[in-house]
Amino acid sequence: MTEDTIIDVKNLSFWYMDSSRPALNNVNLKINAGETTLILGPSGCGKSTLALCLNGIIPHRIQGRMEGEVIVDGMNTKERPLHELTQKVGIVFQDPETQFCTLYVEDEVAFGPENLCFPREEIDKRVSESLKKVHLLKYRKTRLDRLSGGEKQRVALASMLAMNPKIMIFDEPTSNLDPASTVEVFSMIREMSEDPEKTIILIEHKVDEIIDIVDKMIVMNSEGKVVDIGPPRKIIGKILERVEELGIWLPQISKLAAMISHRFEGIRRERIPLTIEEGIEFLETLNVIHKLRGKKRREERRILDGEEAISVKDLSFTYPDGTTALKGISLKVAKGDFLALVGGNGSGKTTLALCMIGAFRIPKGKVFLNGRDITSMTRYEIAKEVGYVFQYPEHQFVENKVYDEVAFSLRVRRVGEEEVRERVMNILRVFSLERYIEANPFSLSQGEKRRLSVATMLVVEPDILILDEPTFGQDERNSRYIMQLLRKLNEQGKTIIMITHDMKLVAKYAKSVAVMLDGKIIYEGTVDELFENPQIMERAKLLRPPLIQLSIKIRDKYPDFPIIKYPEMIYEVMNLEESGASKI
Amino acid sequence: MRRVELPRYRTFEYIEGDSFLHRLNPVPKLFATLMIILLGATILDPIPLAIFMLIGLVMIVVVARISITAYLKVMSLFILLGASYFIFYSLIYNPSAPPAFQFGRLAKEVAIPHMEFQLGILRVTSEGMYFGSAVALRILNTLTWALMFVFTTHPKLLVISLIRHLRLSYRIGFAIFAGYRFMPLLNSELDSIRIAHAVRGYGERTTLRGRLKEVMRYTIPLFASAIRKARRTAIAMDSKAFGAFPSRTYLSDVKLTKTDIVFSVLFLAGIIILYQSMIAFGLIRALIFSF
Repeated sequence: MTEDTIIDVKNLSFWYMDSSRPALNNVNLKINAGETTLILGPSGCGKSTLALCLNGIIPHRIQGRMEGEVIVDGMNTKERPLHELTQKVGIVFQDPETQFCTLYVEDEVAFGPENLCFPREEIDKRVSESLKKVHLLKYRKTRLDRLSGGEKQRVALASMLAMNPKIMIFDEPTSNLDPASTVEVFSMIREMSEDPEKTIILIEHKVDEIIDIVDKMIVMNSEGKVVDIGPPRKIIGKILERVEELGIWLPQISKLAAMISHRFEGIRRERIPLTIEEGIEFLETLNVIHKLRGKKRREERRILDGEEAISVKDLSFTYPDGTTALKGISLKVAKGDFLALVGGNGSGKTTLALCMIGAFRIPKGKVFLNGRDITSMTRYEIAKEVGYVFQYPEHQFVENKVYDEVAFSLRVRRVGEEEVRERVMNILRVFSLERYIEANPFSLSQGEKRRLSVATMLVVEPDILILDEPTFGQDERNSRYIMQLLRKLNEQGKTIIMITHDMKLVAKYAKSVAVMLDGKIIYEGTVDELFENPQIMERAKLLRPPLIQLSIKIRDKYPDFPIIKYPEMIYEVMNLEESGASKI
Repeated sequence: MRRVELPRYRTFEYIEGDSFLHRLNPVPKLFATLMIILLGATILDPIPLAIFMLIGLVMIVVVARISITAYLKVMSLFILLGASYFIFYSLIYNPSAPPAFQFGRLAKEVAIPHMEFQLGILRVTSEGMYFGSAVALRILNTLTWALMFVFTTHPKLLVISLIRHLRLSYRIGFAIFAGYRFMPLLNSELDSIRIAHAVRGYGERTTLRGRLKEVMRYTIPLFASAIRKARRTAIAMDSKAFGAFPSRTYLSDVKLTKTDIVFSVLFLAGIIILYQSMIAFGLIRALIFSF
C-alpha cells in the first residue's frame, strides 16, 4: 500500500439480510488519491452495494453480513462512526427526487453541515461556495421541485460538496435524466475531476461521454466479483470480446476499432481509441477511411406509401391543471414502421403516445387507429389493435401472480381458459419467465419486470406496439434482449413506436424518427436523414452518438464517407459478413 | 412520465409575504390560533360567529396583506357546504321537536322570535334559520382562522420552530418534511398508475365494491413505490450524517422573541375579552355547554 492509496478494499464480501447469494464476492481493490475511477458492470452486480460500503452506510445502517475490510483515508469503516466516514466520502445517487429531504435548494445544500452542528455563519458560507461551484448560486432560494433533473443533480452535488469530502462517488447520476441534463451533469463531473485533491468514483453506463476523464476502470460481473482493474485502454482491449457475456456497455469508438482491426490486422491493445479524435486518428492510420469512402449501406426506404397504422391530425392537448402538452401535432405512422419518438423531458412524447391509445379524452377526428377514429372505439377494441408498455412496469401490474398478470390481458377480453393457458404458457416461455409463474410480479428483478410488462401486451398479439423508454434502467443484456425482440417483431410486420432518449438505440434499430420539442413535432423522417441534420438535434437537445459525430467530422474532409450509425454497420458497409470469431 | 401535479391541495397552502403575521413565530401563533378556534367552536349564535370570522378575515386581508381571491378560492367549497347546512336546518328544524341535543337545551334557554312561512310543501322556521346559519358560520369561522395560520406560516419554519421551541424530535420533523415532499410525487405516480390500469382494461368502477377493489389495486404499487422512495431517502440522509448528534444547527433561523409571545398572548386575551363581553351583552346566548 503506497502513501497514495486512499481507498483499500480487502477481501470484501457482503450478504444482504435474508440473502444467501453474496452481493459482493471477495472484492479487492485499491484507489489512489486524485484518481478518477469508473466502475462498470451489469445490473445487480453490486456496484451500488460497493459504493455504500465505501461511505460506511454498509455496515452501519444496512443489515447484513460483511466480511473483509474497507479502509478509507486510513479509517476502517467497521470501526469508525458513520458521521466521520460520511465526511470523507460523499455520494450523489441516481434518483434526483428521492435523495432530497428538504424543500429549498439552500436547505438541501446546508443539510450536511447542519447535521454536523456547524455554526450558522459557516453553513452559510459553505452553501454559497458549493452553489457557486455548480453554477447554481442564483437558485439558492428556489424550491427544489421547480428545478430540472440536471439542476437537481447539481444541487445534490453541491449538497455533497458542502461537506467537503475527499472522495466523491457518483452512482449512475444520469440514468434518470434526459440528454440535456446528462450533458450538464457530466460537465460538472469533468470539472470536479480536474481537481487533483478530489478522488472520484463513477458508476455509469453511458461511458462514451465520460471515458476521457477516467484513470482507472473496474469491471464487475453479475456475481459481485471484480473481473478486472486497470487503465481504461488496457481493460477495454482485454474485455472487448466479452462485452456480451459481461453485459456492459463499452465506448462505441472502441467497439468499432475492434471490429475493423479484426478484419485488417492485429490490434494493439494499448492503442485502442476511446474518443472521437482518437477514433479518427485510428481510422487514418489503418487507412480505413479511403476504403469506406463512397460506400453506402443499402438504405431502408421509408415505407411512405404504405397504409397507416396510426395517424394523428392536428392534435392539441392540455392537462386539467393547465399545462399544454401538445400543440397541433400531426403524424403518420406507416404499418410496419419502426418509429422512434424522441425529445427532451417535457416535450410531450408520453402525452402523445397516451393519446394514441385513447388514454385521454380527445375530440373526434384527431387520432386514427388502422383507419378508425379512436373515439369511436371501445377500450377493448383499442387494446386489440395496439399494446402499450409503460416506462415503469410496476404501474401496469394488476394481479398477484405472474401467470394471472399475463392472463389478465386475455381474460379481460373474455378469451376461454383453455386458450388462455396455451397462449400464456407460450409467451412466458418466449420471455424466459416460466419459473416465475406463481411469483408476485413485484418480486421480480427490474429486467424481469420489464420482460413481464412486454409479455402482458404481446400475448394479445396486437399489430401495433408502443413502448415508453423500453430500456430505461436496464443494463446492456436486458436492453439488447428487448431491442432484438422488437426488431424481430418488426420484421414480422408489426408496427413499433418507441419513446426513447437513447439516440444510440435510435441509430441502431429505428427506421423513422419524430423529434418533439415543446409540444410540437420539429422533425419527421428517416433516421439517416436526421443524423445528417445536426441543427435539429441541437435544437431538441439530443445527443449525437459518438460514431455519428465521428462520421460527420470525417465528412468535413471527405464528404462521401458514410454515416456509421453503430459499430456493426461497418460490416454491412463493406458488404462483409460478420466472421464467427469476432462476436463483438 | 412527467406530469405537473394537480394543484387542488395547493390552494390550502403557504402564501409568500413579509407581513407582521408572516414574521410571527409559528409556535405562539399556532397556540393562539388553536385557542381562538376552540372558543369559536363553543358558540352557537350566528352574529358573534360572524364577528369573529370578520376579525379573522381582517387579519388575513389587511394585516397579512393576502388577496381576498386566494382566500375565496379555498373558502368557495366550504361556503357551498355551509349554505347547504343552512338550507337543511331552515327546513328541517321543528321547534316543538328540535333535532339536536344542544338545540333542544337551547330552545328552552334562548328565545328566538318565532316566524315561519311556507315554500310549497316545505316549512321554513326562524329558529331553523338561526341555528342553520350558526352551523354554517362555525365552519367558516374555523376555516378562516385556520387559513390565517396556514397562509402566513411557512411549513419549513413551522417544523423548525416546533423542533427548536417545543422540543419536537428533529427526526420527526424531517419525517414531516419528507412526507410533504413525497405527496406530490405520489400524486403523479397515482395518476400514472390509474392510466396504466385503465389502458390494461380496468374500467373505472362505479359500484362501491368495485371502487374499493380499485383502491386496493392502486395501493400496492403505490406502497411499493413509497417504501422504495423512503428507503432511498433514508440512505441519502444518512450519507450526509443525519442523526450524528442529538441536536443539530439550522441555516434558517427561527427566533422566539418577546414580541412574538407578548403579541400572541395579548391578541388571545383580546379575543377572550370580546367573547366574555358578547356573553355579557347578550349577543352570545347559545353555547354548546351551559355554565
